[in-house]
Amino acid sequence: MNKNTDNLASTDASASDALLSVQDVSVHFGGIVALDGVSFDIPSGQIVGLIGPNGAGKTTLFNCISRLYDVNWGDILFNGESILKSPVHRMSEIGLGRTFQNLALFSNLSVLDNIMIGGHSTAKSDYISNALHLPWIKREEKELRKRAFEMLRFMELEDTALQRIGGLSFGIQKRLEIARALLSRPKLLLMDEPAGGLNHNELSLLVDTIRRIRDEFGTTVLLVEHHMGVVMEVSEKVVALNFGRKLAEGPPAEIQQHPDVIEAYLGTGKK
Amino acid sequence: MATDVETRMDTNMEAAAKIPFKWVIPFIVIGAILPFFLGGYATFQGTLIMIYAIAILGLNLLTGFNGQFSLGHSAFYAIGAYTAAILVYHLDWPVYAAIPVGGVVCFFAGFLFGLPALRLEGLYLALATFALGVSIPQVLKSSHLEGLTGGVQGLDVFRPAVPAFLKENFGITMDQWWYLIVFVVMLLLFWVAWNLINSRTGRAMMAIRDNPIAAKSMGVNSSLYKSLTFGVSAFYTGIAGAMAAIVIEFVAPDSFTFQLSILLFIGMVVGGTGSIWGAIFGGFFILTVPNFAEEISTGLSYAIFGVILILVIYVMPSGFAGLVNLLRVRIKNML
Repeated sequence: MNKNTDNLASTDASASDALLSVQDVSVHFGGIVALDGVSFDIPSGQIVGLIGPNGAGKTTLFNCISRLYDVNWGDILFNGESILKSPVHRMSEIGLGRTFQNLALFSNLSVLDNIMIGGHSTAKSDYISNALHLPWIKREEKELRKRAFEMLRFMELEDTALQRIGGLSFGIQKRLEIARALLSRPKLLLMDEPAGGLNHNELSLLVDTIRRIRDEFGTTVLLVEHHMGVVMEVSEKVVALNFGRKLAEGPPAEIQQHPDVIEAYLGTGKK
Repeated sequence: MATDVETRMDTNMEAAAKIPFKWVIPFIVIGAILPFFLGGYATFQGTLIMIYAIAILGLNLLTGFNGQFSLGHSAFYAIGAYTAAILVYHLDWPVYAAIPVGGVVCFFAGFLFGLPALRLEGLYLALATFALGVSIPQVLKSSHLEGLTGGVQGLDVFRPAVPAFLKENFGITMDQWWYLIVFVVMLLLFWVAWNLINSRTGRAMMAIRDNPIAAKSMGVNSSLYKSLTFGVSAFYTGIAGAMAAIVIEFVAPDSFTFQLSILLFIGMVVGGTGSIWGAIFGGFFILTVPNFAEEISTGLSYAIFGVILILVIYVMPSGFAGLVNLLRVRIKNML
């Protein structure tokens, strides 16, 4: 807890060097307003939680940040530059990695191949050099494979390397998604409901993993999460959404006590 | 303990993506000496099987590895064949140079067709390629192009004689010579396909097939890979078409109907979708089984072919390559 408040104090003073800055973002689907003028910053090196009841717009915002959805209004800055003009596949290269709410591994490939695709943007061999297997390809492949094995070791999954995705448990697949996203060496890791469907042991492993990712790789983490226990334990800052608007933003302890957040989750019956 | 895991991993790291030479070398040796034991007709049939195998492998790169459907590969086969035939017939090009040009022309045709196809998914892409496949014979027959394509009559292509020193010293016949050329081209193209599949490019292709959104989020430029793969797939099929034109010494519009597309598709599924060497079995199947069905009953040959096809799919649901893999695992477990 001490550490959390320390971090917050330091980042409040220097809000301008936010790694990601969401500025007045609105998204409409037909007549439905999914996001309505949402703004917040993610300071470099922090673990930030994004919470809200179902339909609050969390996943929509998430998909805007990873460029799967277009925003109708507002801007999203990464490292001080707008990302809204760049295509989806550029995100990994500039340092935005992500995991998916429902598993999105490549189901017909081996674990190793899945992880290596995570490092696609860190390699550069082209169609022709690959087709002819030019000598320098070997070095690149070896390097990428080595990094993939290291990442599997980091996630304590090295034994699965040569298995197919299909036979692995849900919890292991969730961890593999994290490993895959990390292979692109992201500056910001977006995690979409990493705790969803995990059992008790896997949950505590997840909290530990998120901290290790930040501490060992210096990766900033944004997680969308339903599981309040996980968010409040691991986050240094929490942003709460409801009906597409930002309700509150602050340290977990503060958000837990925030009347609007409590109302959104439990309802007060007044209104 | 830790070192044990690490050495195991290092061997795994090295073992990944190596060509299985203990299978490939006997195959090459047998393939190379086969024409010297077979009769002229069987050698010619073997040549056609290999040509089909190349075309099927091209389709497989697109459909099996990249997840894009095509019912129009007869069009690329035709473009390859006509490019080679026109170069030889009208411009007196040497046939050996006409073959790669047929492939390159098809690469561009496939790449350009692949660009609008980016907007089409699954069944819609199948329909668009179907339209391409059915239109090509008509285009080739059209009176506007008759001067070039020879219209309904088609074009004759004559093969040059076997190089004199091979003929005199080893008695190599025309059929054997072309068998060997096609064999070498096939080996080369299979090697290229193997390289592609076991590389960064191949992983990107398969990632797009398995989960396009996740692939994009991992940094894969899906549009680029999809259109390039369309081009490469057409290149393979075009090379096959060009060699077919020269081996058969004749091109005519009705050799490239939509039915050819379906045959290639069948060859791909029967050989094993997503298998490289399965294409050889696929080529064997689509050349021999229709003839076999015809021998049983001319009037009911399609019905018989259909029954055989259903039986084959029942016995080998993931193609010939899938069956062999399954048997290999079974035998390994028994030992």
